[in-house]
Amino acid sequence: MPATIDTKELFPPGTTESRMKKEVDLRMKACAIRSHYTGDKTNGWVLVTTWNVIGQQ
Amino acid sequence: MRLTRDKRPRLGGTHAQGTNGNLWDWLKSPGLFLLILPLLAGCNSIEGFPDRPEKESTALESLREKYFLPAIDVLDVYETKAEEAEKRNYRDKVIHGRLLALDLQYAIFKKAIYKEKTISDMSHSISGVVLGAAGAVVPGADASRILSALSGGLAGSQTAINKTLFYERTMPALLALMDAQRDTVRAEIMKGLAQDTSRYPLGSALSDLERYLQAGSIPGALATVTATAGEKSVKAETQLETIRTKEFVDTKAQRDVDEMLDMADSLPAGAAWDILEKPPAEIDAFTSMAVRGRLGGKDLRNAQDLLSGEAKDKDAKAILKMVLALTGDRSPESISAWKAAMQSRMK
Repeated sequence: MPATIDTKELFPPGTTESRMKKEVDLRMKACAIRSHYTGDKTNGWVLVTTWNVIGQQ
Repeated sequence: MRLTRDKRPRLGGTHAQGTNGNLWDWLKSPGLFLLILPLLAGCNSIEGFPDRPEKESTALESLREKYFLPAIDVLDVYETKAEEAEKRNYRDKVIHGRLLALDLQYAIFKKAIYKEKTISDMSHSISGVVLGAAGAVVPGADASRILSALSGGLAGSQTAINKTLFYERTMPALLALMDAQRDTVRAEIMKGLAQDTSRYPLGSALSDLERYLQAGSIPGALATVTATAGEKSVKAETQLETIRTKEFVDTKAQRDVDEMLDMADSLPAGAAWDILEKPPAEIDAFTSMAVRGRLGGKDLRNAQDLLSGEAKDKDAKAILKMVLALTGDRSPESISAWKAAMQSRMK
């Protein structure tokens, strides 16, 4: 099992997909291992991001 | 149960009906050989890896010659490059070449491990086939007793072939972990290579390659297993989940965060930890918990050993950037405070 943690963020309905893409970009720029969202503009989005644990691989 | 000519078991016992032979005769028969033969003949095809168009050893040798000068020599050559474009080109070539070599070496390593497991699996399959066939042939009340004894004997030989259950149970999990660890480090290297050499010099890249090598090793994987036990307990006690507001995804707020991430990258060594130690704005509970998770359960205030000092600056910047990206308060006041803190530490 890799040494990682996941963060989960719930975004409100009405948020456009382009805003979600930007959030993904920001997390990747902030050194996340991966970040992806599911959902839609009507129901809202869930953004899950995986981060490495410092000092481990 | 030992099968001797004097005490060989009669199939179906003394009351067996019909023309059933005895197990001893059956085991000696060409039928058994014919059952096992396809398995043995198929050994090459069950290794599970396709043939490579080029021999791994040949490819490795050419990569070694081209990209595996001693690190000190590689760095010397690197230093002779005056222009950024030349430096970057040389860095990228060396790192990509070494990555390819390490990947090939890892593939050979995995193949060898898989081969060990295949031998063990094959012995198990043979015993299964023999027992299955014998079960079909052997009728009568005594058959189950005989087969049970025989099965015990085969299980014993299986244990002898296996030596331990290592290849059966532990190794697949360790291999999966090694793959995942390698992916993580590789992603970091690729990110580094996307930057210029002032931000990701060849020395850092070589050091990351060393981590890449370690990530694909059994000791490296075992170390992570131990460490992850602690991490899992941290995970269990924290719910890393939060709800965002519409303001959080405001275009300007996102642009500000983007700018702050650039600023964090440009901070001089030590400044990121300096800011984290005394944050200019409140770090909310969700972000604090996420940071704690990344620090293996350690609170940011007590993370000096993990984030302080020049050697740990890369990690300190990673944590600072995470804080900047996740902090729920993206109000102009909060953003100004973070920006001012970074600006004041710029050289």
